[in-house]
Amino acid sequence: MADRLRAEAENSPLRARRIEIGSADDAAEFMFDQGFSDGLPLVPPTPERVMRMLGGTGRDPGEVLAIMPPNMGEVTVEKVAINAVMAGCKPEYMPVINTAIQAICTDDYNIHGVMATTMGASPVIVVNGPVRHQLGMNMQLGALGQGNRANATIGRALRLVIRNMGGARPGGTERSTFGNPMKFTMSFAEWEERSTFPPLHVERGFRAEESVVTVFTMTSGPTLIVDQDSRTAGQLAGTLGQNIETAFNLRAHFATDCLLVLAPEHVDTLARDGYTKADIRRRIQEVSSRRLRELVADDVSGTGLKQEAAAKMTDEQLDALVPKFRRDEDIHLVVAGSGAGKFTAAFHGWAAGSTGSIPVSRKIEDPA
Amino acid sequence: MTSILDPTDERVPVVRSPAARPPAITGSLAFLDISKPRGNLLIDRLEELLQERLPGVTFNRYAKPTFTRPAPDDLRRRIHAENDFVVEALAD
Repeated sequence: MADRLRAEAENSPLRARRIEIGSADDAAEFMFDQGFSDGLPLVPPTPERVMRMLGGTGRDPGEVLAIMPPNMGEVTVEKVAINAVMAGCKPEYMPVINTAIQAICTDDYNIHGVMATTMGASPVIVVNGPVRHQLGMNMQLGALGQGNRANATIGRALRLVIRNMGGARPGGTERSTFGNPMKFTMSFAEWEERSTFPPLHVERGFRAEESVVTVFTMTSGPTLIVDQDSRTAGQLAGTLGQNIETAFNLRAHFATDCLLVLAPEHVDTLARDGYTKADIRRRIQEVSSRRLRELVADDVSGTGLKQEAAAKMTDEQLDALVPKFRRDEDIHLVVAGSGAGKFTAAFHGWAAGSTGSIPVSRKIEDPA
Repeated sequence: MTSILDPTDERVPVVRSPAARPPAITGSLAFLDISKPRGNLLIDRLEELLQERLPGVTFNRYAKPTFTRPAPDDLRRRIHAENDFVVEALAD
């Protein structure tokens, strides 16, 4: 009731256009017809609900968080709240969503290219720090799947803002060949407590007690890497390297990045031999390295280095070893999943680096 | 009446838009009699007039089983499949 009164008061902070839906009309159907939806039902963003959602952040409703391409829409906190209501969020999720929006609307992240590419790229949100527990995010059994409200709706809210404020709609500037289930939602938390490695945000320069949102651009996944047999860290990391070499195609080296989600049983195997994240990366690069001459197009596959280009190279150049990833840092590592299962979930990236998308981490700084 | 807030950047008016109108009437046109009394007379006269004005158009006649209920799905699908335009006539 208090939210309704505040929404309707003369000094209401709400500035968004009000849409009256006729009494003979169905709100859910109306929102589908207007194109507000990702294809799933939406919660009607009534002024009362939006007021309640705004209570989850200390930011001013009129604050412009970012400019969202391609429409270059000014994404205000109020607009985020409206889309968060539609996505089914709780008010306390707002700071994570606000931060994710700021992260994707950076030159490094390049959300314009991410949503326009035919490759079906989409943001993958990883949350670190105390906020994971405050929001009840799932980082354990089924963390990458359905069933947890925070995981499901935070990612969905971000996607709805991209759609409604950025204007990225399939067939418009959204040009994905296949689409991708991650374009509905993809957000989860890292199970830092079950990891023997520094968590993602600490590795990326933040303090452990800070809450941080990291956004990656991924085109496929999670692809399950099954290794129930390796008993040494070298073997297991070797399996990871063999599998991830198939990203894009086997001969696409120096092209993309990846996000590997290690389940606890794999963490244990790696930890038993004292492997660090640097060791895992080194081993993946080692087993996925190919002599350049092995990456030349042939009758088996037309992918790889063109034969004309290879013909101009010296033997020394063609014998040089080329790892899968341009930089070890292009292999992103986090821990999540249940205690049972010797698996790693692999997300394959898009164009890595400044020509495509660079992952962005941002500390949550919404005032209380 | 439900009131909601616009989730978009507000560059497009929010209205229920009618379907786009084609520039000319060609192809097939359905007359749907909803089975109210004298609906058939109304359609007969309309068809007469339209045949003069639209000589190249094919006219097809359909009727609902009863005006008290919506048209059955099969009938709606058939009208949609066989026609480009529909004139639905009430009468009494």
